[in-house]
Amino acid sequence: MAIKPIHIENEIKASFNLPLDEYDAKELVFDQWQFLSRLAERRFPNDDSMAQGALLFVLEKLEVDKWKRVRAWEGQGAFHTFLAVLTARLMTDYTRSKFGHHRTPTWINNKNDIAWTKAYQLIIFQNYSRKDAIEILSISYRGRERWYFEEMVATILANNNRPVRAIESQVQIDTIEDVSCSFQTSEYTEKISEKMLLEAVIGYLNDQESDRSQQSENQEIERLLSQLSIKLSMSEEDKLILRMRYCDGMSITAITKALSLKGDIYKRINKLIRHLTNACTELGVLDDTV
Amino acid sequence: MNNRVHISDNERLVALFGLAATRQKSNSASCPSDEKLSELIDNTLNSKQRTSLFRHLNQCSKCYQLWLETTDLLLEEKDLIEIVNLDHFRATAS
Ligand SMILES: [Zn+2]
Repeated sequence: MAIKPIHIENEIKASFNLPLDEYDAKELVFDQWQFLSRLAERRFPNDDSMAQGALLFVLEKLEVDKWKRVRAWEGQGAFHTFLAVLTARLMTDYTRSKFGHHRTPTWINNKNDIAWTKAYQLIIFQNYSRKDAIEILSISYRGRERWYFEEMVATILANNNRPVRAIESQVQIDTIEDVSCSFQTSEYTEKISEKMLLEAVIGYLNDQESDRSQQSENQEIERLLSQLSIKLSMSEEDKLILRMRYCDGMSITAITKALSLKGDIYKRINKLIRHLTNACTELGVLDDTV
Repeated sequence: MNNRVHISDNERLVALFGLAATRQKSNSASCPSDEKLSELIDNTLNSKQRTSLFRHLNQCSKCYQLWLETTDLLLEEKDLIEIVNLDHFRATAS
């Protein structure tokens, strides 16, 4: 995903001594002002004041300690992309801070995915309608499919109707039932109990393996997962593709670009799904009529 | 859910089950620097470095989300720059 013509990046590297001093760091950031503005507008397409606020927040944080974050650039990667990573990190902080992190429920914060925080803010704090919230989220996060936001908004609205205490006390359940990795149990999935699936997902998504293994009722799922793992052969790239597609609703185009993939990605995903389906069927956790 | 043309519940189920089954439980590697993530995004790492970072992203939710957020932000940027590169190529060629 090279985002800056190589000749320009080479000019940058040739014109500045590394490590950067504070003046060069500042100059480089201001050279990229239009780029930074575009990133802020892309993240807050519905709200000029939020976009402006985000841009100023990013600038303010970059300036801290004589542009320390920017001076960390060692010239190994493209400056442009390095700056984009810093900006993504800081705009995430800005979004979290905007309405107060403490006001967003734990089950949203636990997701680490800023799109959830933004969705919650749009619906709960800014009173956008379901339709408008989905529209804004789809425009803000162009790499993701619309159905992902439809589910996200539905989940937030459903949870928000519960008493606050119930939500907080059911953090784990809510976390599992989230859109990132939830689905409606269908006739095809009768053989896998809902609980088993939920446990599998929580272990994957939320770094809670220790909690999971401490519970004796999880032994059955642990056994199944370890049997399944023996049957599976997936590269790290395969796993990322599946996670982006099935947990985060990324489009095929976005996945292809993000991972700089070549070839037919639909075919690759279908092959992976066939491999997984066969392994699950062999283990008896899936009905072989699926 | 009429937009879910390409994803069935069953696909999602096996994908999630497979991800849970193959997840590495310990994350020994420290988080990559922002610059290293930028090199991954620009696809300038060798395959060994790339695989090692992919492994980390599969284990560390925070890095995964930062990487995902940055790539999403840059999605259209890439199209824009490809056009610039093409213009540059045409200008050089003519
Ligand atoms: Zn990390």
